[in-house]
Amino acid sequence: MRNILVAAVLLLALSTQANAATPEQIEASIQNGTAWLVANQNPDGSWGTSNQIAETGLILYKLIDRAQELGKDPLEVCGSSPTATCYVYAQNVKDGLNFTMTNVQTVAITPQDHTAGATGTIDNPDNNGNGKGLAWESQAGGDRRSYSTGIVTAALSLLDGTKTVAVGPYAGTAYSLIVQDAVDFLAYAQSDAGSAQGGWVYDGQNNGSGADNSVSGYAVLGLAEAQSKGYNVPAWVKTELNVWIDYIQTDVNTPFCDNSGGPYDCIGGSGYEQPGSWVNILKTGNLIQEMTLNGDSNTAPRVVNAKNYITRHFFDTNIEPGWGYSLNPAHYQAMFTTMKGLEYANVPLLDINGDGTPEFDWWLNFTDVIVAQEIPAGAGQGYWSRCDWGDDNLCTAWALLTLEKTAPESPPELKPVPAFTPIGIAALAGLLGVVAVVAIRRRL
Amino acid sequence: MKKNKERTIRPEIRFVLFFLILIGAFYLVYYNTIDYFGFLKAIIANALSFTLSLVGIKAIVHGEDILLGSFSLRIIEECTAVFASLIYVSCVLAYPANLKSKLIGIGFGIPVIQAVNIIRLVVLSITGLYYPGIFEFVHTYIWQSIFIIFVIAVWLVWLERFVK
Repeated sequence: MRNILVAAVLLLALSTQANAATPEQIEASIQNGTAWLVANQNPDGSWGTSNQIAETGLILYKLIDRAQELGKDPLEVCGSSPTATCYVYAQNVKDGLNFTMTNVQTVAITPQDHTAGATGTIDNPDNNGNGKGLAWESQAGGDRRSYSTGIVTAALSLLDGTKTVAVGPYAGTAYSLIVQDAVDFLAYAQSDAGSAQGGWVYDGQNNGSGADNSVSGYAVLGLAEAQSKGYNVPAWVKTELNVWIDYIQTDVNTPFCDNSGGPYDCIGGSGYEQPGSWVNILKTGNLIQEMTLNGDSNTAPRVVNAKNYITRHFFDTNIEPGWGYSLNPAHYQAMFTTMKGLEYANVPLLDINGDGTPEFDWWLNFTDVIVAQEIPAGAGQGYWSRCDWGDDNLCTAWALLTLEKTAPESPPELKPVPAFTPIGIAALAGLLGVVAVVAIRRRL
Repeated sequence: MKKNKERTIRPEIRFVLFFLILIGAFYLVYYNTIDYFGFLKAIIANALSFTLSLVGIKAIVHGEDILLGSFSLRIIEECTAVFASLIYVSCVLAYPANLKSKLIGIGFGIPVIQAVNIIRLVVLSITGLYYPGIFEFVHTYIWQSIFIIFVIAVWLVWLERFVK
């Protein structure tokens, strides 16, 4: 029975890969979706009607990354004589940045007490010593600064740090300082106590508690992107994050979880606020990104457990806990978080058939579904709609980010450099011993 | 009778026995108390970062990880040259010399071995950054050989200069 099941899954995997979208189709979808997004920008430079900062940040992340993929300067507007590096959407990027930097908040940040926590010390989030962090609220009067600041930080990290802010309270300030202060806020906002230690909650608090692994996923996106561009993410943030990772990952000894639809397998997957609760692919993608930022290699046991969870649920015919591969619309946010986790961890293939050798290109499968679900919107435009947790702007941004594999650059492999191999140790002891014996005999 | 038996143990055999026993004992003690030596890795990481800054290479230290852009190192227990130091100390202690000479040998040898280890890590960092293609060869073969020769040289210097 098990063999039949494995064969069926393998057949399904191979058949879906055979239908994968062509590079030309993927590029056309990216162009259409990008054109649709800029056509739907608000006059004030933002996107959307609620959660405008977060939406604007995510779309800026896409537009800036797209410019860099094309070898363009995201801030160089094409005039009457376009240069080789001007970007056709540079004005949209600038308008979006102006909206973002007009709505920045300055937060006085203070040392965080971890004396009873993982580091055992009082840790200072103020990397550059200016006493402040920068944050963005999702909307006026909102309480989602961890979400929106993580997303905006990811977008701003992509910019040339020597470029300066054009408007708002930080006009004239280099983006490098803005990004580092945003990282400082995220470090400050990290939860410091209880089981949530090391994660992030909607609105980061001073020495706060509470966390969930949806918010944490976006906070870590900002930190990972910033770190990959050379900004300093304090080591203690990772030490604390490591506690959250160990907590929120469902233990390998957990037999089943109950996700309102009855018991199901959740080993290795990420819960929401507790392990084993509301476990799904979306948050497990976040979990893998968190592990990678923490320094785990993609062969570390807990990363393998998380990958195995995604592998086992990859073809679930639902958007909870799956990503809805057979549904229209699919779960674009789950695809995005899975992509950013696996891409950041440098996992191009999954071992769907369970033979121990990864063979399944998950991204090709995602692109097939996304391209097929594009909704035409006039000449040269297309968008994605009706997805879980997002309006059309977010659905489209998640789909496009996934199509272009927009994620922080994988951290370089951390090479251990032992002074000696075991043979070297034996050689040292042996040679030193021989030299000493010769010395003794000569002395006698 | 017992006294006669002791006289029959030749000094070089006694040295070898002591040497092996000390290595084994130090190894066991180290592995059973390894958690207490975690700070060594952070010290080495910060020392490496500082030394790299002197040669114009910017390094970001995250605990035991040293990020150098396209190349990064992780300091693990074996990177601290602790085993080389244990073997050297075992050899000094097992060698027939007076206590003062042995203390001088330990006090002189361990800092020198650790300094050489930092030089090793600096060279490997530069190799990994600018000549990644030969990194494994330099790490596994060149530096291991150099380190073995160097530890023996340090011991011989101790023998010649400090052992009466």
